[in-house]
Amino acid sequence: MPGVSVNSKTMSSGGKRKRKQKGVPGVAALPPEVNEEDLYVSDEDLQFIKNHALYAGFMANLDTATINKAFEGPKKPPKKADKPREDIESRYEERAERNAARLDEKEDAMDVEEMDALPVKSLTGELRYLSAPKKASDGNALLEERKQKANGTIKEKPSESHVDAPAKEALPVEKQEKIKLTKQERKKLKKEERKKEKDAEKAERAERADASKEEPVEVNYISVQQRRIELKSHMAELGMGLLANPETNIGSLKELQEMCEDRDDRVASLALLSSMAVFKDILPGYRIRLPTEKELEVVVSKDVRKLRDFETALLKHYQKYVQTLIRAAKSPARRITSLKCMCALLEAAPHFNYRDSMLKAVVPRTMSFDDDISRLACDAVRSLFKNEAKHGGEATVEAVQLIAELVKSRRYRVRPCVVEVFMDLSFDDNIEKSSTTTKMAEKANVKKSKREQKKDKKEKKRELAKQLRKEVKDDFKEASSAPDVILRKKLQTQTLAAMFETYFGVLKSSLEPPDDKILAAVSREIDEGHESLGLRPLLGPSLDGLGKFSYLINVDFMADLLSTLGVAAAGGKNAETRPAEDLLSVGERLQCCMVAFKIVRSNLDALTIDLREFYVQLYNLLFEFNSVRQDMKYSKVFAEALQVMLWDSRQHDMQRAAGFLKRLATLALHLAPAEAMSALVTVQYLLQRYKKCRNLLDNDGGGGAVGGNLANYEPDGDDPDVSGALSSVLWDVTLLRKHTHPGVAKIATEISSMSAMTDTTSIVSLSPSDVIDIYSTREGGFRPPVQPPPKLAKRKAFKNVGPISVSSFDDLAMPGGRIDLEEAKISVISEPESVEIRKRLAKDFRTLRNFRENELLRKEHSRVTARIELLNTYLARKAIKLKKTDKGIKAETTKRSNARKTSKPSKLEKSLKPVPVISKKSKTKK
Amino acid sequence: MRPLDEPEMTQVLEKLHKFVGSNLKHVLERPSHEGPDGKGGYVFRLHKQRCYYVSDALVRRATNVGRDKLFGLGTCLGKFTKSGKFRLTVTCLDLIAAHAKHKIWLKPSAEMSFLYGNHVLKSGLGRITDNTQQYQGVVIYSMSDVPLGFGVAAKSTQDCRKLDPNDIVALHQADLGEYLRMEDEL
Repeated sequence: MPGVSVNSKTMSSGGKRKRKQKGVPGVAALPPEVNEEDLYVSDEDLQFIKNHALYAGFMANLDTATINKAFEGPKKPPKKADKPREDIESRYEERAERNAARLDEKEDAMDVEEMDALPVKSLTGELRYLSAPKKASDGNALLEERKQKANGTIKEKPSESHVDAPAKEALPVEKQEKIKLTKQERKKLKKEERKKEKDAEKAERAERADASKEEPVEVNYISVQQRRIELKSHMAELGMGLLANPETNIGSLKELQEMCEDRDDRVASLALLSSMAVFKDILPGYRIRLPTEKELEVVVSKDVRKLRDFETALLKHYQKYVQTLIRAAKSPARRITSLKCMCALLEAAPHFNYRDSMLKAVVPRTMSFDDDISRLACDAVRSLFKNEAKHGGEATVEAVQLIAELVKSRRYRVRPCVVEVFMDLSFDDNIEKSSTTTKMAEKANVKKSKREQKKDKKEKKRELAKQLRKEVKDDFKEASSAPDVILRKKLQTQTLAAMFETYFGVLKSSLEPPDDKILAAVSREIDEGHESLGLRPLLGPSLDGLGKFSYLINVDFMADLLSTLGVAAAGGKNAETRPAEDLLSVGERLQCCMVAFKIVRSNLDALTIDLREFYVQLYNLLFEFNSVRQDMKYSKVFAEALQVMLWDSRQHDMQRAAGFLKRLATLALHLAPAEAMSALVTVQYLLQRYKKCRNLLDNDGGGGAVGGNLANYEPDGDDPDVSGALSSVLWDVTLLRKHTHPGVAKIATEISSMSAMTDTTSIVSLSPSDVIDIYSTREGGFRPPVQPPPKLAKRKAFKNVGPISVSSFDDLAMPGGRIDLEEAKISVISEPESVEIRKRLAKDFRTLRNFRENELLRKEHSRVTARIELLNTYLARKAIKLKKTDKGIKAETTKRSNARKTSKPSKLEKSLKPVPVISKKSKTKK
Repeated sequence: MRPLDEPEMTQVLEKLHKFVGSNLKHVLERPSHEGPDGKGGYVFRLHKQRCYYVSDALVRRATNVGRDKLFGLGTCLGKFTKSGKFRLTVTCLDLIAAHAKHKIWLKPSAEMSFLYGNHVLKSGLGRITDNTQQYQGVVIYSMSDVPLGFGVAAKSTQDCRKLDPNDIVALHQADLGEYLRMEDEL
């Protein structure tokens, strides 16, 4: 640094002198002994001072106040408060002042450039250079900076024991003041500043000695809180100013920039955020291209130049800001803030310069282990994909390629959300065709060129001319009509290539058994306490993506892709020999099957293929599925697989359909209601479509050896085609009719009645996925909710009975006393009518009560009569016994029966007399 | 009538394997429900140069008939030519259709052409099992899943994509029409 500054002396002095003469005529003369030649500091001088630093200590103790007084003119502004900090304050003020003044004198573009290149003393006391080191003013800046430093040190040291720190504290206040300053004051300040510069030059040597020792000492002043508050309001003011008039206030960006690198993380974060908000608003809607040397030479109008200056300054500030952001993204305390800023900027102005460097910073953070960070980054990338109109698709390509590279370099072990981002990409429908046609065209071109080589020169020339003409034509066409379309296609093809590369890579890598490195990575993740990514974190989202974009896959890839998927659906390579936990999970395998079907379906025009292999896989997976029910996602995958493979695919042969029917019905027995429902809905659908399969519903176990069909059903077979399901019976459905879940029971009943069904109208209304949504109890509760029992509902209805008409009660007083409540609910009642009703009801109830009473009395009566009769017969027998004691026993028995019938009626009648009395008594009692 | 000897058995099984693949196991282990005890399996028998697929019970009963009087028994799978090669006949269609691994479905328009003994063209191809290799035995169905015959795939599934409509997809070996055309020979 010293070396550079030394050489730059002459240049700086020239500029300064000019200004001095122009704007500051009345400045006090410099002390005569200060010769500019003396100020020339050579390397030797520096060395000398360094070596004898101890002896130069006196410089620090110079009474600068008096020295300064001697040189300061009588015009010193009295506006400053008489604080001990005064000097420093004014120093800062001057600098800010200079910046402002510089902006005012904007007509002089060169001047602006020069000032811009000045170094900035940040709040931490460090010097920073603007990023325009190639400018001629570079050296000048360095010198200036040293002067400032000298100025500061010399004044501060003697007057204050706190050294640098208070200066920092005072800064915001000063800055606020600055805005209020009038122009006159500024001029005064400028003069002052000039003088000080001279002083500085004089004291430079002393400073040099000091500089080596000078260390920013951290001292706790006022309070951190207060400083924050002050800086905050200052930032707000700066921001307001910038938003109100960005062209004139662009200099305040620099101040914000300084604050962005504040030591206090809070302040820095706030500054970063507020600059972000400012940039978001003032960035233009186009990409700024700096004017070339040639363009600069051309004389332009004032407006144009103004605009150019503004753009240049803006771009510079923005560049610096982006650099700060990227730097801050590495520090633990500020990384979230800086990431937020970058994401917001990417979202708001993806078209603007330095997008790529921001992308490079943001994209790797999608893979961060921190949830917040990765979510922020993912959202930013997503918004890039969604708002392609803002940047014309270039950013999409860059982002996708970056992601693809990163994912590959990390051996496909990153968070799944990174790849899920691709789902938000959108492509034109004709993109694939166009890419193939371009390929064909390229091929044709190659052929042509080969042919051309054989042709002689003359023809070649003619051809060339022809081609040139064609090119010109093409160019014209491009320029005039649709340059956008061609470019867009190109970009989308690139995006597509990068995306599929990732997908295929993931798929291939997941086939291999996990090697030691991956296992080690997994265990490390667990050790470090992160949420483990599992063995194949990307497979799920990749398969989703493949399914979604299957219509864009080239037919040439299909064969390979299908065979790879086939291996994956079987659980990976060498599935038989590998341990079960290494293999792909059931959900993943189901997904593989599904994707294969989607791919084939979206390329139907090529050939109708019967994906037997995948049906076999699905058939086997159905059995394994039940053991893996962990997650809503699995149920979804299950339902979707049923939908895609059994509903949407056009044809199955009967054997296969029967095999699936039987297995699904069996499966429904032990699945949760929602999954059972989706299985049963599928059963219903299959039965409806394949009439022959309705034989399964008949009770006589068919089959047999007729026609080579399999005689026996093999429940655990692994091929639906030869399971022999046609010779079995769907007894499972009968069991399911008594399922706890009313929905399941209902559909099972429907299915079992299908054998008699003749009409072809569809009775299946829900798809398996819908069913899962409707019936899933994964989130608790019973769905659909249970209806309250009907009895309860009736009682409730009775409580708040609506008005009833009298006529409807005419038949209420029936002997049974049954009231038709349905009718009662409907009809209408008014106030007087209710009295009537009460009467009638009372009457009705009275009759009812009488009935019951009557019944009881009758019972009582009959009992009493029976007793009396018994008593009478007993008495009669006794009388006979007394009469005929002397007679034989035989005669007695025969006579007894006669006596009962004939001789005793009168007695019986007499004894019956009291009966009515008793009954009357009981009646009156009651 | 006698059981097949070793080379004959190999020939028959090889031929069947072309069509049914690993399902050959099911063909061999298929239980039969004929006979008094309702148990037993199926066996291969050679009679008059033809190979029959017969249940145990039937074989036992057939021993009662003289060799010259016995016309046939069970399902005829095919016959051995004079040069000693084995050839499947259409009579085995039901058996291999029930166990077939690779299938081709014909469009309704192409059914008749096939039943007259012609090869299957791309234009008549309704559907084809994925991963069919070249020269793999295929069973040919109508779109309503009625087996019509069998043959040999002329091209793999992948190659089929790129074929012209007039190219041959499957070579004809046997079809249901033979029951009429070659009634005497069967």
